[in-house]
Amino acid sequence: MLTERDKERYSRQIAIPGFGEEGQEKLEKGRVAIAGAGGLGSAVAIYLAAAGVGYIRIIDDDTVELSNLNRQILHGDSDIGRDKVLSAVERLRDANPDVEVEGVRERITGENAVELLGGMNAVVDCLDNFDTRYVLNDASIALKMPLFHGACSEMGGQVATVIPGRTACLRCMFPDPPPPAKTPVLGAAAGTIGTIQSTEVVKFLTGTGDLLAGKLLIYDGMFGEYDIIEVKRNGKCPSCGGGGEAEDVEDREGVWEV
Amino acid sequence: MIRVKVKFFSAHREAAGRGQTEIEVKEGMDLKSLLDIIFDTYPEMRKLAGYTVLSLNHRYADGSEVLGEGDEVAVFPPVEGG
Repeated sequence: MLTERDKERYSRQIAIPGFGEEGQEKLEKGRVAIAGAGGLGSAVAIYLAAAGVGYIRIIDDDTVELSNLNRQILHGDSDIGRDKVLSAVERLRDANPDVEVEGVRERITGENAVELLGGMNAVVDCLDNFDTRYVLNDASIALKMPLFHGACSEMGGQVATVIPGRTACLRCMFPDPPPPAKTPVLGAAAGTIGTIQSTEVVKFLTGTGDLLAGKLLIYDGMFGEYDIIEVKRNGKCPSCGGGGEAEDVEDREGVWEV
Repeated sequence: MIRVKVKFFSAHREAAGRGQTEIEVKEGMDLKSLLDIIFDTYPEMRKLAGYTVLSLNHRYADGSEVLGEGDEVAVFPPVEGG
């Protein structure tokens, strides 16, 4: 049940057609893991907290560096040298004390990934490398947990929503990762991609609109262009096996129920 | 001969030095062969060969697809940063 304070706090989103108080109640029941408290994780976490997602678990094992601060808006100058999850949790609790926030200082590995996502309804991929993304992808498949992928570079990036068993998984889309490198990123590009991911998570939790499920959005901010392409499952995918049975992703009734 | 429209994004756009082009190819040619023509035309892009994602008419493509008149191809890299 929403309190009078909730109704006031979230009034501007409750008024969105199809959202309503019911949507807000669903958000409050939502439990979301955010993998990475960097540029994408900052944007995703701050908007999910502000929107009133009930429980946020943010996972990162890094400390804040000066060169993070052009894009990682959860952290400030005084946080340099501190654990990112510490400044993340402080910032998010300040943004919205009604949201329960948990910081987990762990590196995501094949051994701990499933455990780290335990009890969550969704996981947001805010990582900075494909090796860990594949680990997260495998865990989301094992748990049948929707994965909201984002990645950014320079002034652009890409977004895709993965519904395990129904849509292409991350490895169906990207069987070959780019070579690991320190990617140049404008803060606003991480923000653009992260806020699209946040929108996807909110739509998923509330059952509003249509997801970018089975679709890959590519945004080229340098030249002000974007494209959305349909992605199909790879029948030989080593992660999800490709399924074979092409389930209809439009048939969403009851599928993203939390 | 048929004409296909090709769009480049991100690193591939930088390698091509342009955002899009039109290429005339033989009927029955597949997308993989078109990519070879693109790499020959823009040699800088060949360095990205292992990191190239393709779509045909806004659908993910693996290269085996046969091209048709007026098809729209997009060429882009997977992005990694976070």
